[in-house]
Amino acid sequence: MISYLTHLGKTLAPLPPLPAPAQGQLSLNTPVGSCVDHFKHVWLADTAHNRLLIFDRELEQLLASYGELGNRPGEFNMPFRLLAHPEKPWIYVTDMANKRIQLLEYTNNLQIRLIKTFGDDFPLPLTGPNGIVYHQGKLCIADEFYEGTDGESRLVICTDEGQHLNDIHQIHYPQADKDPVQLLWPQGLTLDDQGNIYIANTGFNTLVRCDWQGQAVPFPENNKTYIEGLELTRDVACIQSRLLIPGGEANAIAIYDLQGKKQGRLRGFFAPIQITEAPDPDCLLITEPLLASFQLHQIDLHSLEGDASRFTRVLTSVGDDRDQPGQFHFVASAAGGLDYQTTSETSHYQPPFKTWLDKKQENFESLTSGWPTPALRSWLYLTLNWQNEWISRWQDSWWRLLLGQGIENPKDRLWIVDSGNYQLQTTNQPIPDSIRPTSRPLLPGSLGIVSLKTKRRLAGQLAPEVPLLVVCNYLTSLVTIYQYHPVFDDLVPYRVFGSKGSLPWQLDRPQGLAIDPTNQDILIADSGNNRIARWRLTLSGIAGLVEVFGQPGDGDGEFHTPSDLCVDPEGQCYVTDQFNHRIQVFDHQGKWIRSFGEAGYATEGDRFLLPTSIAYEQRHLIISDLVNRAIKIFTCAGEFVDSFSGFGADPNKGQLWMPYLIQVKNNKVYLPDCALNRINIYQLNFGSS
Amino acid sequence: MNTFKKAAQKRLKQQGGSLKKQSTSTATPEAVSEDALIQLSQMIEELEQQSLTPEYRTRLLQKLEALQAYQRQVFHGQLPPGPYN
Repeated sequence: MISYLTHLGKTLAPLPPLPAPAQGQLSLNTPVGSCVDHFKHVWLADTAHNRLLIFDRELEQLLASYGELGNRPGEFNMPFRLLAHPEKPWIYVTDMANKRIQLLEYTNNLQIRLIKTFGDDFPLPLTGPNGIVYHQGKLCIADEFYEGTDGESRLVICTDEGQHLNDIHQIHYPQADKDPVQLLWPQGLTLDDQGNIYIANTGFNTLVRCDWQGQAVPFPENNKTYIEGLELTRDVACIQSRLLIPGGEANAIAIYDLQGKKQGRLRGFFAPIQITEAPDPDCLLITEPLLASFQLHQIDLHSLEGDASRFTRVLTSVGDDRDQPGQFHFVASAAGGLDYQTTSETSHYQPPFKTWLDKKQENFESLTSGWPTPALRSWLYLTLNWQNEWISRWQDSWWRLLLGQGIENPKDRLWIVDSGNYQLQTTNQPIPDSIRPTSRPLLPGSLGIVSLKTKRRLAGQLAPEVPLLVVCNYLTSLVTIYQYHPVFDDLVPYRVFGSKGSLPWQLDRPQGLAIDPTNQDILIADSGNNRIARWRLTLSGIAGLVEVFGQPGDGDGEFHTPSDLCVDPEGQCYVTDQFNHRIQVFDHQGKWIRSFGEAGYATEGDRFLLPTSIAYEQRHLIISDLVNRAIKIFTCAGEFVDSFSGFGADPNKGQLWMPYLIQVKNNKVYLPDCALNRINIYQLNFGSS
Repeated sequence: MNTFKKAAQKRLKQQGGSLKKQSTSTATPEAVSEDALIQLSQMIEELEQQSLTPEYRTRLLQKLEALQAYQRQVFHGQLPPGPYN
C-alpha cells in the first residue's frame, strides 16, 4: 500500500582532491560525533553524509575522508559517535543505523583500515549504538533504542576488542528503599577521572552518574544520582573537571561541577551536540548538527563560577551554509504537491552579480594586500558579505521579471519550508536537485506550512485560483499568509496574525497546520500551549480566532505537545499528541470523541513513540511515528492498515532520521527529514491491499 | 508504570516549570548581539594596535571571519529545534 519512490534535495557534494582547505565550500550534513587521535588529527562524523572527515588540529585543512554509504565492513549508515582509544591507534565508530561498532586503525599519514566490526553479534545485538566511552580495557556503549521488559534502554559493557561482558538496565542505589533510575534513549556518554560514567538520559532530560557495575554515584548537591531540571540532555562532556551539557539550557551549554552544582553556561549556540577537548589549551571542538557546522571555540572553563554566562571565542567554523541550488538546510514541511506529468525543466541560474561578488570574496586577500588599515579591510569584508547576502535574496526577483522566468504553474507545485535557509523553496518535478528558492525570505524559525484554496475571492487576493500559503513560525509564534502575485510572478505576504503568549488569541511554539475542508478554517497545533487553535479568514481578508480547545495533561482531550493535525471531509480533527504517544480525535466543535495508540516500539500497529505528524488521504490517516521511524496508515476509525519503516540515511531506500511535518496529496506522501535534509516521496495505493 | 509513561510525566511537569522560567528570561537576541559586537570590535582594535607580520595579520583576519560566521549563526541560523525537543 505504501512504497518509496524518490527524494528531493541534493544529498552529497563531492570532495575536492585532498588535502584541501577546510573553509569555504565544504558542505556538512548533520555532523554529530568528533574525537582527536594520537597525532592530534581531528575526526568528524559527517553523519547524514555517511562519512568520516579528518582535519588538522586547527580545522584549517581537510586531510582525509573515510567511508561511504553501505552496510559492508568499512561502510556506514549514520556514523554517529567517535572514540579514540587512549593507548592504541584505534578509532571506534558507532555505526548507528547499521547497529554495530566499527573499529578502525590509523597511522600518522592517515592510512586507515578497518580492524573489525562488532555489536551486531552480541547475545542481544545492539539496536541503536550512540555514545561510547573507554576505561581500563572496557567499553561502555549507550544502546539508545534497546527495549527492555519495561521499555527501558540499556548500557552495554564489552572489552575494547568487542567481546560482550554485561548490560546495565537500571542504576541502583545501595539503599533498598530508593527506586532505581531507568534509562530512556541514552545518547552521549563521558567519564570523569575516577572512571564514573555520565549518561545523557534523553528520555527523562536528566544527566545520570553511575559506576561500571551500574551502581549509583549520587551528586552531593542533591543526593540523587542524576541532575535534573535540564532543558535537554543529548550529550555530556567532562572537561577540566566540569560537566558540559549541550542544550542543558536553551541555546546554551550548561556547566556543572562534579558535585552537581551549577557553574554557569556558555551562550551563543543553537543546538550543539558533541563537545570534545581540542589539542590546543582552552579550546573545544563543538558540533552543531542542525546548523551543519563544526566549530573550534576558545574558553577558559576555570573562569566560570557561580551562575556566570559567558560567550566563547570562535576560532574556526567548518561547513558552508547549505544554500547551493538543490540543497536544503533544516527542511521542515511542505505544502501542495507535484504533478507527475510535468516534464519541463526548472532552471537554476546564479545571479551574475552574486557570482562576481563570490569571486571578489574568494580573492579578498590578494585584492586588499596593499591596504594599510586592517580595520578598513574588515569593513570591506563585512560589506561584501552583506551585499552578497542581499543580492542572493532579491536579485532572483528582478531577474525573473526581466527574463520572464516566473514560477511556472503556481497552482500545481510543491512548496517547501527550508527553515535553515529561511526561505521557501519550490519545485514542480520529482527530481532530487530540482528545488529552487523563491525570492521570498521567511522569518527565522518558520516551521509549518499549509495551502489554503479559498472558495471565494477575498479582499486583496490577487490570484484566487492559486492557493494561499499559510506559514507558522515556531520562534515568533506568528502566522504569515502568502499569496501569488501574477505581475511579480512570485509570492508576496497577504496577512499576518498571532503573537507569542498563552492568552486565547496567542500562540506558543506552533507546529503543524491544517485546513478544515468544510469551511476553510485554519487549525494550528499550538504545541507550547498544549491546545489547538482554530482561526478563520473572513471575506474581507481579516483573520480572526474562532476557538481554542485542549489543555496540558494526559487525560481525554488533554495534550502533551500536540505537534500536528489534520481534518477529514466531515470536519473531524485528528491530532498527534506527541509526548502522550497517541492520536486524539475531535469533532467539528472541538469536543473529544476518542483516541487511539499507546507508547511502544513498533513499526506496525498502534504503538507509537512520539508520533509527530499526520495527514488525511482517501478515508485514511497517514502518521509519521518519529522514534519508530515509520509511516503508518490507519483507517479513520484507528485500525492499522499498513506501514513503511526504515531508520538510516540511505536515500535509495527512503530511510528516515528526523522526519518532521508530513504532506499528502494525490496519493503521494511528502515527508521532509530535517536531519537528512531531504524530502522523501512515497506512493500510496489504496486499491491493492 | 512503564518507562515511557514515567518519562512523559516528568517532561510534562518540567514543561510547566520551563514556561515560568521563559517569561522571566533576559536572554534576548539583543544581548547576544551586544556581546558579539564587543568581541568583534576588540579584535579589530587588536589588529590595528599591533605591529603584525602579514601571516599573523591574515590569521587574525581569519578569526574575524570565523566570528562573523558565528554572528550569522546566532542571528540567522535560528531554527525550530527539531521534531523531538
